[in-house]
Amino acid sequence: MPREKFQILTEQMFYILLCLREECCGTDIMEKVREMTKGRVMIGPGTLYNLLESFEEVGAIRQTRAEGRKRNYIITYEGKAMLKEEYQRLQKQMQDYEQFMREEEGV
Amino acid sequence: MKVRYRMEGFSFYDYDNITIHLEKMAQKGWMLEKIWNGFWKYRKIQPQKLKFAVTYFWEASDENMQHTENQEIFLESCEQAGWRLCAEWMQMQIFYSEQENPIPIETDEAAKLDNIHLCMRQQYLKTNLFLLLIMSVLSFSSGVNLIKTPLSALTISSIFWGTVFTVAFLVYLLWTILGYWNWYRASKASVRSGGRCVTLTRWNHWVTKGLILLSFFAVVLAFVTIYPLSDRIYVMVRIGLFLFMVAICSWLRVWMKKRKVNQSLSTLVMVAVSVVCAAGILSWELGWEKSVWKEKLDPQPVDIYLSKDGIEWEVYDDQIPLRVEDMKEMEETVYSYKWTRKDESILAKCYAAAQRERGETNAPELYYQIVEVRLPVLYDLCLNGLQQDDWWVEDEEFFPIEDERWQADRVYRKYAVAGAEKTPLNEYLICWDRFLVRISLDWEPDSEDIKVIREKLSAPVLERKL
Repeated sequence: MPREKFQILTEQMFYILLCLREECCGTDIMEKVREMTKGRVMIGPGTLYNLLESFEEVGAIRQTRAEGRKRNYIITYEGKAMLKEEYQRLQKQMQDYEQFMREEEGV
Repeated sequence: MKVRYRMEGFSFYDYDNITIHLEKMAQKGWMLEKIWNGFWKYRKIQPQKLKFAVTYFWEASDENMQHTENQEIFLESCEQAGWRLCAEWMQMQIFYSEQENPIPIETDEAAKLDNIHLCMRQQYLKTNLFLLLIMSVLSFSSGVNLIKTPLSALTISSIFWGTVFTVAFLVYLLWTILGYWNWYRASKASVRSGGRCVTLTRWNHWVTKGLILLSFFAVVLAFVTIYPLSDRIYVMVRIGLFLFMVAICSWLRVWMKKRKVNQSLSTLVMVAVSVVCAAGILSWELGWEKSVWKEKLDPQPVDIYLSKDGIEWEVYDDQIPLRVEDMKEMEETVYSYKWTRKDESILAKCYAAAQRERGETNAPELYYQIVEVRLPVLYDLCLNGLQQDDWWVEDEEFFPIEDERWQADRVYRKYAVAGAEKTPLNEYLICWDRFLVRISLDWEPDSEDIKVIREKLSAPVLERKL
């Protein structure tokens, strides 16, 4: 999956990268995202596998170690930049929303 | 263990309908176990509510002798989420879960679409595009044959069913490829605007299944009607041998897969076994054809005549509906009578009779061909085909004539054409109801001869005889 595909991160992409600020494996990621979002966002094993592979391909994450079939990953500088870009995009959306609502309510 | 095989005919990317179908099957007590050469194998279970999920794994392949390391990791993570693998078909991985609400395997539509597209491009689309190229060439050639030699294309069953197969399969491939392109385009637009991948409708599945079944039956019929269906034993043996070959190859493949035989060695073994089996079947067929079929179905000569210039002529003594002697007084029998039931399909039948002189007495000869058109819509095509049956003969052409003596729907006579000049020949094409008779004589028939021909070959007579 080329880098352009990640210009806008979906919720699943966003939370996977967020979890990987600390080294963890696939199962941990699924659990962490569930806890972090109080069950609002779920990541299926198929989606997780494909996204981890794609993130690794574009250098957003890297594999730290493999114990048997269990593989651990951590976010890279590139991945952090992607996460930050997405955060800023969401923040901009929030600001636009707030401004629009203020104008509408005449505050 | 009770098992059941079904030809399901789902499009490769029709995961929603596959899931719904498998859930219904499980509720009826049938669990998918394996997808084998286009057939889906189910085993009997207690009817139960199971959840199914279809996903695609790019590294998976029917050619792999075993799961790759990455696939094992993927399967393990699915198992941890409560999904067990039940069958595979190329990159398609079909899972089931006994949990009531398991986490779906795919939870991100954009990632799912990219993954499906990657897997489709990897094998399915490439294979289908390659087949499309072959089928386009075959369909083009069938079309040219139908125009150039419509009689063969319509009366020879194996050619007719072969044509039906190429056209049906071509339509199926176009339907699949264009259908996927359309689905991908629509899904991409939907996902971009935050929606889901598009779900294919049920009728899409029925069209796909219909085209697959039509192609399947057409190819089977093309295969078994190379010889007349009347010879059932031969047809059964032929089908049996073919199925035996498929079974041997499939069993061997599974056996090698279980024993984790190296892929190159396994491919080599498969090619060798297929070649040996095909050669065995072919040699059996050739031997059988020589010894049994030829004797049974071909007209058999009763004598061999050696002409003055040393050429051997086969002499036949078949019953033919019309003879020279019916029209002319002959002193003694000097003829060979040959009756050939040439070809037969569900569309038309074709017979030929030849009465040739046996010696060098210059006695008049007779040749005629009868076509029975079974499907009225093909009447003109057959008529045209019969007129052009000797298309390689230049400067000779059939023209319609008015001659009440034939008492026919239409009569054509052949003429030698040289510029504006037309010289009539003693060859006629007569249309009696659904029978078309093309007759060639060595003399110009008078009213009495025409009456005899009419009595012997007109529709009511032929209906009783053929």
